[in-house]
Amino acid sequence: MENMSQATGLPMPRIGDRAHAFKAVTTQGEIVFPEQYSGSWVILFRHPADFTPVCTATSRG
Amino acid sequence: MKNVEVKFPLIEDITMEAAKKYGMIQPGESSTKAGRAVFVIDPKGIIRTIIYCPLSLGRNFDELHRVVIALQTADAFSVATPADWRPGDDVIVPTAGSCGVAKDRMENQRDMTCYDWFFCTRKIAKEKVLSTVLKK
Repeated sequence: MENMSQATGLPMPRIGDRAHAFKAVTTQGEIVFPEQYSGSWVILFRHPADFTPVCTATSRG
Repeated sequence: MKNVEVKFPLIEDITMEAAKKYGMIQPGESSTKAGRAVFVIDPKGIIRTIIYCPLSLGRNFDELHRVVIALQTADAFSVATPADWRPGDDVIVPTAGSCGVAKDRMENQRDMTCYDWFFCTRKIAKEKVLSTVLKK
């Protein structure tokens, strides 16, 4: 399928798309994404796993 | 590297729901680890920038800061920002929509610098950019 992720079968997000919604538990309680952040700019980023050195160094900065 | 206060929420994603929805699994590289993806989402919930890095490459947070300021500037002033743009640098004015406007720009450049009929820039002072985007 065009533009489908091989891993999930879900469409890959694209620029201009509405950010996909999800609910999750976080270190600051439950969040409803992205509604909860409506009106704000958000940087959503991801690290591969805990105890990976590159991201630990990155997140610190 | 201990006792660092993390001021933003860290998402628990055991099921990888969020990772999958955001295409963060790059199976050619690793099927279990989510790659280093960054999504910049605007106040309306629209994805505005996507940056992917492989597992071996750390991100550039200076660039992320530049991206957010540049997107906010583009929205606030209806302009585009060229490569390596920083607040205070010239911005690009949208291409003229008609021959008349293009001609007028070339002949009466006003506050713009026009290199050709389709390519005009103008100055926005760094202070103006920052005072506008930081209000939001």
